[in-house]
Amino acid sequence: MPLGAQQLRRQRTSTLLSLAGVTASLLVIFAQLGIERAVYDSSIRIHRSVVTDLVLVPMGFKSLQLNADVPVAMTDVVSANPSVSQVLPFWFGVMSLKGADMPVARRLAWYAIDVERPAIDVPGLRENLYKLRVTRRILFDRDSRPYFGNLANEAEKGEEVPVTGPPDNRGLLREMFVVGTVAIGPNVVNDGGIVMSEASMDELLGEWYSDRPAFMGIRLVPGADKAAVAEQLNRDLAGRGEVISREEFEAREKRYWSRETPVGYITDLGFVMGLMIGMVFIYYAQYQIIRFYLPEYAILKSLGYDWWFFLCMIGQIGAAIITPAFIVAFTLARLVYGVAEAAIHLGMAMGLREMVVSLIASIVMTVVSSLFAIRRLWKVDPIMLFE
Amino acid sequence: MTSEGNTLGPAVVEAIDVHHHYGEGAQRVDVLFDINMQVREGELVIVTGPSGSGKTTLLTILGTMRRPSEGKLRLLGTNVSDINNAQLDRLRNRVRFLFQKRNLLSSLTALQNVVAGVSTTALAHPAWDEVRARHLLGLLGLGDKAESWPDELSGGQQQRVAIARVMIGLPDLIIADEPTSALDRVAGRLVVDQLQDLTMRAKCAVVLSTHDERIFDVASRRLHIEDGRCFEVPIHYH
Repeated sequence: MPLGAQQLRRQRTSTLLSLAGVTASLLVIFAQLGIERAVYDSSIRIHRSVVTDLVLVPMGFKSLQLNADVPVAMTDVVSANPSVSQVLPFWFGVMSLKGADMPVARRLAWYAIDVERPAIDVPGLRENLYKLRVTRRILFDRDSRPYFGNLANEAEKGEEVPVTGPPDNRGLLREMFVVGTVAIGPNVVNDGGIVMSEASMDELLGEWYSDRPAFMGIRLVPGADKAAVAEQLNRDLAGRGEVISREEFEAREKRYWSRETPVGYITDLGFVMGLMIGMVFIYYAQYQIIRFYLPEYAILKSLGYDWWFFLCMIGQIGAAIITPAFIVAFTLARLVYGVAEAAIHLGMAMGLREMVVSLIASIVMTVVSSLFAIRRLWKVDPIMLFE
Repeated sequence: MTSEGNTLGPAVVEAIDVHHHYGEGAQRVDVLFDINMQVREGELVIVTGPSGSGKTTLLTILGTMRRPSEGKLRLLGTNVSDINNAQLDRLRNRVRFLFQKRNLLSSLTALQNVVAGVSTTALAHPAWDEVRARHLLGLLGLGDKAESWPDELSGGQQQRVAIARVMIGLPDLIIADEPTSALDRVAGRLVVDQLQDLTMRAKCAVVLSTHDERIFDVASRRLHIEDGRCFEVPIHYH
């Protein structure tokens, strides 16, 4: 049996304390990673559902949440390219909505599409698309947070469920009818969403929106070179809009959330804090053992054991702590993710990324604390055994 | 001060005009003066002297744990002043130490302690080392104590485990610092008999410091240190 692990077994109090501390710090790391994934993934749900090859976005696009738009006149510039087969506009905004059994109105995202040429495809949209041809008919996001009462269930029964939307210019709330459901999911800023037709958008929110889509999906003719077409379109647009790939569309939204909102900083800070706390607890166990067994390390030195041996032994102590701590933290984190997901509906789930990053963090904790701990062993001198 | 016995082999360790001091300037304390001695293969040399006479300093210099302030120390023909620390570490692998107490690793069993004397890596010990360790424990009358923890063994048994650990390393030189002082007469006798046996069987050299006159009879020679100066004295058998 490795000496380090055996020594750890005989130092039960500091071992248990370190185990608890490292488990807690790993749990913090798992939580940060889970929150980060939930925020980023929920922010790009619409981006992932875009069905086109390229996307025309406002120049310098960062996030849909910034409500920037593209002049619809750009459709002519884009359509003029022989490699473009279709241009599909998509509108996005935020409004409040109240159902009959809701005590207060809740904020949600609205998405408007050209019913004949939808720019996105989400579960439930295709089969319900025809219902949107009638104005003021909307599809409710059944994955919305549970603040909207029984709206989704009633709509799925095939009934037209009346709800009230934002007020008109006389202050009267506009009436809409939920005629079906789709599955999109909420994000950090919106509790849910609805999908409507361009015509309903004009009637409910004002015609001026029609001229300002949030983005336009660009479908190319078969065999067209995406990169070359995007380059050509960007030259033609001359700064009045920007054509990017769908992957870039997602990446920019993620980059915005990670670098330009407090979310990225908070989760990064939490991650680093968890890492540092974990290191301190592993170092504590290693330090306690080194202090207790100092004369025995002098014996090992007198027997000719080298620094590599001592580094491995200190590493064994770290590994003996981090391994059970990781297993416990992983199990607890799955429970925490489940509870959190039930409350926030942001898609918080344990994935490969969370496992790999936490595992790497565990290895970093062990290596760094071992390097600090081994410095204590520099002082060990077998001469002390003669005294 | 050289023993010229016919059965003795070449010098294992040799001190030539060794002088040692601690501190510098006004703080300087000289502890050893003009030490000239050698210990050959198959010799067991006992070092005696009052406390503070420089015995321990001499042992640490002979065991290459310290470099002498002046003079030369030759271990297995190598002048330790001429080699770097890495080379010295390798050379020190040929030396084993037996201390007065604190010889064993408390978190290893007797068997694991013995094996620790030969496997100086963090990897798993080869099975052959374990077989040898069991054999040595058996030779020392500890065959049934192989799986015991050090705190389950008596002082004499612990010293015998330490001797087994020394033996498994097949050293050329053994430095023993008062190995019997914490033991009763019987246990002490057993320990020095084993060391004497080791010098004869394995042809290694032993330097043993002690105050215990009852074990002088195992020595090939006896050196006495007083005020940092070393001289050979005849052995009186009891």
